[in-house]
Amino acid sequence: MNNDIKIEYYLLQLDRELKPLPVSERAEIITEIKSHIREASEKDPSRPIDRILQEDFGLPKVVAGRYLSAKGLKPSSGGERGKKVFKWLAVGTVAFFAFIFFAGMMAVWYFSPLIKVDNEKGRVVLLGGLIDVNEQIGQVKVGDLVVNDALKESVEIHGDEDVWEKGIRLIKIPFNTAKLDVSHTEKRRLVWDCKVSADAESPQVDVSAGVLTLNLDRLNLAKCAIRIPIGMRTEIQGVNGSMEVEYPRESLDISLNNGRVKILPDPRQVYDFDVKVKNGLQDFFPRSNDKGAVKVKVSVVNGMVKKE
Amino acid sequence: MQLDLDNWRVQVKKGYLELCILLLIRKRKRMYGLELLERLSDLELSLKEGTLYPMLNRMTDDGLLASTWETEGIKGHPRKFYALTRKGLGALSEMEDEFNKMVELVLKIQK
Repeated sequence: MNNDIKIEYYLLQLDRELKPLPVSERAEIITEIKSHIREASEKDPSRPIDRILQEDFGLPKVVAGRYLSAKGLKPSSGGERGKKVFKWLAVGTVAFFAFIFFAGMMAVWYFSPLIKVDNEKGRVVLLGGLIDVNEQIGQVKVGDLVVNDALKESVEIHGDEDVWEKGIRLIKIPFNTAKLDVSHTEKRRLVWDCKVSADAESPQVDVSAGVLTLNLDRLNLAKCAIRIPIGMRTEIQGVNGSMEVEYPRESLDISLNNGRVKILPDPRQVYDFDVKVKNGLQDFFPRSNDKGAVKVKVSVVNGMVKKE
Repeated sequence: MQLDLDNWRVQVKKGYLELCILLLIRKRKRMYGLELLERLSDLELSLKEGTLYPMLNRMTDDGLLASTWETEGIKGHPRKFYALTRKGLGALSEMEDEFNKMVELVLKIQK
């Protein structure tokens, strides 16, 4: 068994034992441990992978137990009772055990690698390609959904709202799957220009208690350019997609499950960036305690946050 | 019954290991796992990887540490850096006081 397979099999077993944890937390643990194993192995190529896995880390069940017990959780394999059941199966049916081992190896190949990060090529691939964020071709793929610059048979939708007249203090923009280009404007109106598929619905606008919601949820695979008036705090929440933010000049809070956020900071502006990527890549973004700093918060679960 | 010194050492080490980890991270501002293990090894405070990472995870859950991922300039090895939070700094300060009191007590008894 070559080293890559040994590592992936170990991580697969660890991932199984960590089952009581949320998927994103499991993925983060696996990424951290895999990264350690690879870096440690590169620093000391003479140290066999088996020793790193068995001596430095230990049994996946034991390692997982430490993570879980700290959170008051039990390992998924069921402890002593599970061991007796497994023993009975192993003694009674050797063929069943061999089948489990073979199925495990197939699962390793199928889902391998769990997370693959290539900073040079700007690519993040998770769960064997189920989520694929590729900066070079500007594409985000989640399952069968693909978000890129191409949009066949599209119609254009334009809209705007005078935010100052309506006493708006906060703009919210939820979306499902889209590509958004966001910038700020000195004009009074929130403006959006969307290219959507021919059968898509129009964006919904709701105004309530000083909050304007530009709901892009029902626009599947839309491409929108949004210009936000200066003076408006904005929250953008998306499931899948790609976002480019040019010269942010007002407080911005972006959260995205799967995809890519690219930010072009204004060199004349001081920023306080708070950027978090659970699984993937992020560039360095400066923080600042300066009172005049523009606060930009970005959270991406799977994907990348890049600086232009 | 003879005192098992090795076992005693293990038990004592468990007590101040978390203190040492927080001190190291405070000193360097932020560290990632492999870096922390290497530094602990230099100080002859050996710790297994399978113990350190769950410990860092627990300290993050407890709010003592905050983590950020960095990948810039690092080929294929994203690194999870840990830094002390404000709560962590406060907790560390209290732990240091407690530890110093214990040392003073032992010195006092020894006189």
